[in-house]
Amino acid sequence: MTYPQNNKPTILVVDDDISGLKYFSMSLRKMDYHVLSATCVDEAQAMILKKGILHIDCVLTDFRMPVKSGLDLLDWVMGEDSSLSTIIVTAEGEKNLVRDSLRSGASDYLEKPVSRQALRGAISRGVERTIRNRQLLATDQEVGAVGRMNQIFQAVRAPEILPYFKYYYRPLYKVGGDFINVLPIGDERYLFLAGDVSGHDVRAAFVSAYFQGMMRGLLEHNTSLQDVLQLFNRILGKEWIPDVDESDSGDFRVQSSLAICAAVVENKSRKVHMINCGFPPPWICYRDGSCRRTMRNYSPLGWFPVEAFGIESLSLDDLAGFYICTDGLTDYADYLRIDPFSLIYKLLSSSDEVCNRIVNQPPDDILVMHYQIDQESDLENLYHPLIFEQYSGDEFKDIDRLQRIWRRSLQFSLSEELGDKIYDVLLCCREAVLNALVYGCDKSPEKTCTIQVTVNQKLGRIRVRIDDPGHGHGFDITERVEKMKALDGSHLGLAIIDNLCDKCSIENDGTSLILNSR
Amino acid sequence: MIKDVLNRSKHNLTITLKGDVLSTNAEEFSDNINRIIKKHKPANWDELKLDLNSARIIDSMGLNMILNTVKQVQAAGKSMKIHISSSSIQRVFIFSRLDKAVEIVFKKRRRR
Repeated sequence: MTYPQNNKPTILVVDDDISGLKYFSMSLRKMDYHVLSATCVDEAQAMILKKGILHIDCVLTDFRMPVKSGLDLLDWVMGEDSSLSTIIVTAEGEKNLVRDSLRSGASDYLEKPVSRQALRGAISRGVERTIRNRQLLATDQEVGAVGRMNQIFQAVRAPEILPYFKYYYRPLYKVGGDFINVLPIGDERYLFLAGDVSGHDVRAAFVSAYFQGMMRGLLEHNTSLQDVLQLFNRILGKEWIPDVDESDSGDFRVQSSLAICAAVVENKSRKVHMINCGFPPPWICYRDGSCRRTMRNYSPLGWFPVEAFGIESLSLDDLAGFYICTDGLTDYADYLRIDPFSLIYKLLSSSDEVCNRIVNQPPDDILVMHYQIDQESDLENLYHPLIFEQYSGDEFKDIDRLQRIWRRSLQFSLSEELGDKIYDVLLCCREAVLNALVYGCDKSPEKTCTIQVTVNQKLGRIRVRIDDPGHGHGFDITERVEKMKALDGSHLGLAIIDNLCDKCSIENDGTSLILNSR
Repeated sequence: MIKDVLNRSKHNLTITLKGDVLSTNAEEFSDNINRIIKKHKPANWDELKLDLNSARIIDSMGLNMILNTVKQVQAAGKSMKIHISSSSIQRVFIFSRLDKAVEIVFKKRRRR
């Protein structure tokens, strides 16, 4: 956007009363403004269009004029350029009018009779506001351009993996530091990179762009992932800090930090190498629907010196896929009081319109990606996690609260699909988790159990898995359930689970309970 | 929350429990049911109607509590009906054979 180079700010005065018009025009010229004048709204509009609205710095208009009023002119100006200040001149005591004017976007008002001093103050403030608004608008447009450039960096550069890759990204502002890269980096090797730079501004976007470019270049030239991270950790912790001796081996001073999570998939060696610095630990999902979090997790780059970054390497043969998300997603799930996996499932399986309805005014950037390693099955045929929670033994007292989280999560992710069956699933989860907390964990805060609920869309099947650290029972479940049916009220929990599910099995001598429910 | 209404002309006592019957409230419900049964003399009613229409889940502890109430009422020589509107609860009552011991009145809840 270009701006007129005019030494004197230009004021457009509009008044049907010739004496008033003359008074305002003469006064403003004496104040060293360039003045244009019009006697009605139509003439003022024509003048603005002819001159160019960016050449006008403030409009001063009388309210009461024949045919069209000052408010009509104000509406029109707001539609053309909302950064242009408009001051309404009213008769004494027209408070409703003043209120309406300000609500419609007028920058100020003046009550008749207007003194020179009041006129000087109002016009001066109006011109300043116009200049400030136009500068903000220009900056906003520049930020938007940077944001669009950022989007170019974030493209998935490996079209062959697109059928197996899903992601959702909702930046907080037009430009920021979160990014997703999917890049081919050699012979059937792919880099999945998610990043989150501290801050949500142009500076964060700069750090983000610098790192993405450097990472891509170094990995394409066979530098190891660990070495790239080591280099960037030093750059953030030492080089970019003013007045710090880079050779000093002391601690870092944190100015800018970068959370990154990287996965390198090697199809030839059937391996995936993962490392996480500052992201919530990614989830690894297996073909049977179970999942766990990665073990190699470090602080964000730029926080602490790290002697050597370790990589977690896994065989692709056992895995169904992995999920990576920013803390913006987990925070938003907390805000919705649901499990993060339910939010992920909904975001990755819904249209943009539905996603935008769900993620309404998020407090942070939200980013999540899923890569399906098991490419023999189509996406719908895999088990997708909906709930993955870990509880300590003493949380048995909070079972009602935990049940509410499961209910909200299932209702959120599956909407009406489950119908009344949701209560069967909830009851099974409640019985099994209570049993795990009370017996498997001995109600101890030191011991934990996990609950995982997964869904297979194609089979319409919900699978619940509960694991605890207990010693298990080692009994035959069918035999035990038959014995329980004596209606004597004892051990009803397991009988309930077995009867409400299509299939209930016990693994690891009873410490893992797997329920299937159609 | 629990409510009781004695209908002298029909000789029945209705006890309405609000919400699910769970491990966390079963004991409290049980105490209240016992108190209500004691409050209304046995001569004034022949049938106990337990209204669980607002419950969507009854867990094993809740089921135990209901079972004890059934036994207590039957021991007093009275009849009992349990009103429910949740198909999940209906399934629990059927597999546990509670429906053989007491009349279950199931009326499916309308979807809002």
